[in-house]
Formats: sequence, structure tokens, C-alpha cells
Amino acid sequence: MLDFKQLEENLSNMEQLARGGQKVVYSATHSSFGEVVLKLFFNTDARSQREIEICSGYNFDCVPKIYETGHVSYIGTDTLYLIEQRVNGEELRKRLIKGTRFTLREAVSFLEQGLAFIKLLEEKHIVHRDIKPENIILTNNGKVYFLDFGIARILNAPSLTKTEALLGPHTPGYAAPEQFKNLKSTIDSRADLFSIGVVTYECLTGRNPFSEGAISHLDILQRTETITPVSFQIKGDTQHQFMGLLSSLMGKYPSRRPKDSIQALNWLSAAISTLEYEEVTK
Amino acid sequence: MKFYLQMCHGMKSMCLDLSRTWGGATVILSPQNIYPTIKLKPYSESIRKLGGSVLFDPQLYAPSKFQKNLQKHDYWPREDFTSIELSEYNEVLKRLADINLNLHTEMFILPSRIIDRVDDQWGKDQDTIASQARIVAKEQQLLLTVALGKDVLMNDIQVESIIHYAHHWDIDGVYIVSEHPEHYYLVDKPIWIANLMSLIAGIKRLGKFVVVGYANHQMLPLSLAKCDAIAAGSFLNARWFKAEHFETSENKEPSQRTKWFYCPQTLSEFKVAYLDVAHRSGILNVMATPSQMENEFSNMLFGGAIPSSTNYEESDSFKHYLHCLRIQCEFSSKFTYIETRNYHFAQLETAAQLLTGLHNERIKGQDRDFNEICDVNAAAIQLFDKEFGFAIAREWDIK
Repeated sequence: MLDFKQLEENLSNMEQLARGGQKVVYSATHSSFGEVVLKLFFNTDARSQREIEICSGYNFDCVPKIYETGHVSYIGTDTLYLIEQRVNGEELRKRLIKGTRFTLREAVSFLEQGLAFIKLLEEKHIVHRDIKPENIILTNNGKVYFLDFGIARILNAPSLTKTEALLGPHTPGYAAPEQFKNLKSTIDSRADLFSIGVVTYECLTGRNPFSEGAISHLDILQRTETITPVSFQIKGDTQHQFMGLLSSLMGKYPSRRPKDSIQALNWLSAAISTLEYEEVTK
Repeated sequence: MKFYLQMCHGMKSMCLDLSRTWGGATVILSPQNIYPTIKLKPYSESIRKLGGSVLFDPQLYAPSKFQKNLQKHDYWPREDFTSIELSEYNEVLKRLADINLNLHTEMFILPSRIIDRVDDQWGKDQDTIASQARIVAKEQQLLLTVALGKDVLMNDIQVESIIHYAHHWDIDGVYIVSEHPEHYYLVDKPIWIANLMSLIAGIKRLGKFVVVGYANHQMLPLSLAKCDAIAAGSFLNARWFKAEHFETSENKEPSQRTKWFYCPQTLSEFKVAYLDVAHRSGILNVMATPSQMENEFSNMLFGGAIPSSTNYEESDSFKHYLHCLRIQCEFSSKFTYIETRNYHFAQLETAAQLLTGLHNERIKGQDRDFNEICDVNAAAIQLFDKEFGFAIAREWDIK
């Protein structure tokens, strides 16, 4: 096991990016890999292992690459660490906080990349389960990266959530009802389709349809189960096909959403043919 | 959307007559009305000779209840009637498979008990029925019964659960029968209709065939959910599923004997006495059957004589209803989803306007008047369109 100082020898410009219950995240420059992110996991639990397994095992183009993993003595504790590619871009949440909204063209590109990502996951029988603005980085040229497989589920692997748990792991406002209700047998890629629909809707309209105006975590969940997002008229969406697709993605039951990412991509393709792009001021 | 005849009391010759008129009809045979089992075969053959086809509804909705006529059938689990409730379907499925083969049924309707609530046990039982039927009826198309108590379709979570279970059943389609909420012939709850549409749409999206039994003209919008067929019969007990009909110790024959006239453009039925009022008010032509649905069973009502003085009989009333409904079913599906949705809205709007005119003359269909139901169905369609419309519209061409 490495000493943290040994690890630091290869790293410079370290800056803490985030600290959560499970891990602390730094940005840094690595002597061999260049711009990287260092993640230190407080608990070497099954979820952390699974995240590393997914990120390193499948080498998705839209997921930062993992360069190195191992154990390090951090504050006197055996700690799992991970060094991964640092994507130069902006976290989607930060864009939203600034009040930047997607144009119709940007929304289409974002959704297309999101669905392509979900398609890759489907092929590996993985459900991300945490697609939200905090876990998405957008580069200057519009490429989308997806982060954090911390609560991802591999459908043909043992579940890491207790079956009897009333709530499954989720982020309120983005998780599909069947996910936070822990209806395990009904969870599949359609839960990710729900989330990508919500994120696209939020980036386009500036509003999260479920958390806006909610007074508590439970209130958000209740709204997610009960309300149908307002169907906005978007300039250029001449036949209401793009908003129709977003509404379908956000269907409160899986049966109302596209069957899978391929069907969603087909529907997006059909919608694109009806759009008239007219760039608006950001 | 196709139309099937749901056999009930007094329909044996009526089905043959209609089959002859239509050049063939699909009839869902009722063991409660044809018994013992040996009598099914010749009747089935006579339907098939007329170019029609048959399905056989085993009516095992309440297998532990004593139903006099159903007990006369070979397949009915008399001695070990509890076996079905213990999820042991093998024996009854074998007997039913033989009957279906013998009758040359178009599809094998698998039995199922009626439920008040969808739960895991029911989902497993349905799965068991489907998988055991696959073994005993290898060559037959399987339609699994989904029999619902009055409250199930009021709950969209329950509806979603059924769709989820249906995903795993090894079947070709489902045969849905459901009690109406609050025991009214015409359902006044838009949510119930919308949820029935959602259930059908969800199952259709799984690529399965859907037949809704014991239906009536209020179910025409089911075509918007891509329902393959609805079935209706003469008396109300074959247009409105009631579990008690399969639970009673004696077969209570329908007691109502009022002659009704179905006015398809108003989606309402009127007692012939009210046609007399229309005749005297000079507006009977408003109620006359549209040319596409004109038929020998009701033409006498519009020949100039006072309607009640004509030889319009009860059987004519039934045949006229079924004839019109069959054509309305044919018209109910259009080339695209949007066209179909607009057609249904227009149909309801037309009915509401015509009814307003008739009501001004105090001509009403009483408990079969569609005036308030127009709003119910329109609200249901609107809700369905919002929740399912986009997906169904995209898949409209996929059978």
C-alpha cells in the first residue's frame, strides 16, 4: 500500500473539488497522465468497487478514463484511490446555476449523446441510476461526459440494495418513481431514460419539473409520482415532437416511456426531421 | 378494431343470423349458455360453416362458486374445485386444451379467477397458467384472461403492475374483462376508462394481442390504445362484466324486456316509446340509423309508421345494436393515431350536439343516455393522449 505522500509525488496543483459521504475528489496534474481527478473512497464498500469495475472495465467513450487504482494510506486509514481523466468542460449544474439554457439544437445534441450513452449501458446490462446535472460535464465543443457510477446497478449481478428497503438509492428530482420506490424487478434502462428526459427538460426550460417549488425531499418524490411536467412550446419544435418525446421519456411509469434507448433514438430521429432550428440568445 | 360477439342467454340463433348477415363473425362461446360440453362442437361447426370463427371463454372467474350450468361441463373442477385456488391448473388446462382443439377455436382463452387487487401471488398464478398451457397446448395461440374486480382499474399503480407482469407471461395475448365501478352500465369515471386504455396500450406495446370482453359502445375509444377487438352481446350482462353472474346458484334469466333502440350517432339507446315522441315531434329522422349502418333489423322504425306499432322486436333491437357496434368498431381505427384521436373527439362532439337537440324535445335515453358520458370519454381520451399518446402514435404502424 502506498503512502499518500508517495501518491502526491506524481501530482501537482491539487485542489479539492467535492467532498461527500463516500469520497473526496481532487483535481490535479499528474506527471504521466496530465490533467486528472483523484478520488479517495472513505469506505471500500461494494458500491465503490462496482463503480471502479464499471468505469475501468468497459472503457466508454463518454465516461472519463481510469488511469490507475490502488490503496493508499490516507489520514492513517487504508483508502481506495482512483486516478481518472479530467475532462475539460463545465459541470452542467454550474451552467444551470448561471441561468444558461440550452438552445433547441443543443438540447437535441445533448439528448442524442445521452441516449447513445444509455444504449452503451444497455448493451452491458447496466443502469446508471444517477444521471443528473452534477454528474454531467459538457465540453466546449458540446461533447457530453457522464460521471459517477456510485449507485449504478448491473442487472445480472447481485443487488447491493436491500430488497426490503423502502427507498432505493436515488437523487430526488431526477430518479424515476420505480427507482426510488425500490421496485427492483421493474428497474431497467427506462429509469435512465426518465432521468435523461428530466435533465434535458431542465436544461431547455430552466426548470426541474419535480423539485421546483417543492418543500422537502419527500415532496419532490411525491411530485415525481403524481405530476405531469408542463408541456412547453419550444421555438422551432414546430410539431411539438421534441417536447412530446421529453414528456414520453418522463412518463411516470416505465410502460409509458420508450421501450429502450434504440426506440428513443428512433423517435428522436423522427422528431429532428420536424424541427426548425432558430438560435436564441443564451 | 374488430368486433366479436359475446354469447349470452338467447344468443345461439342470433349469432348464427348475424354471422349469416355479415358473412362470418367471431363468436366467444359461453359455456353457461351451451351445455353440456358435447353440445359445443355442433354449434361451433355451424358458426364456422358460415365463415365465422369461435373462441371459448371457460368462465372460471369464480371456480369455487356453484353455478348450475357451468357445473355441467366436463372441465369444471367439481370434486377438487379448490385446486385452481391452490395454483394447480394442469388438469383443467388439459381438459380445456382438448375442448379448444375440438372446437377449432381461433385462440385458446386461458382461465383465470377474478381479483380485487393485483399482487405478486396473482402475477405468479398467471405465469403458472401461461407456462402450463404452453406445455399442454403447444400448437394453440394463447390468450390469458385478466379478470378484474371493480376497483382495480381505478388505480393506475395496479394497472402498471399488470403490464409489468404481462411482460413475463409466455402468451400471445390477453382477454380482459373488468367489472364496472359502482355498478353502472355506462361508466361515469374518466379515470377508469383512461386506465383501461392505458392497460391495453401497455400490453399492446409488449407486442401482444388484446381482446376486451363484455364491452359496449362506450369502449369504442379503446381503438386509440390499439385494442384488437372488443366483444359485446345482446343483454346487458354480456355488455358489462359482472362477477356475480358467474357466482349465482341459479341462472337468473335477464328480466328486462323493454325494447330499446341504439342510435349510433348519439351513442345512446332509447326506449321505443321515445321514438314515438320523436315521430310526433317530426324529428325522428335525427335518430334514424346512418346509411352505413342501416339494417334490416331496424329499418321498419323509420318507414313512416309510429315506431311502437311496427314489428320491431326485442331480438331486432339486439341485432341492430350489435350490427351498428360492429361497423362503429371498424370505423374506430384510422390510418394514424392523430386521425383516430380526432375522429373520437368528433364522434363525441356530434353525439353531444345531437343529444342536446333531442333533450330539448324531452327525448332522453334515461340510464342509457350518453350525454354525460360524452364528457367522461372525452376526458379519458385527453388523459390517455397526454400520458400515452406520443408513444402510441410513434408505434401506430406496428401491429
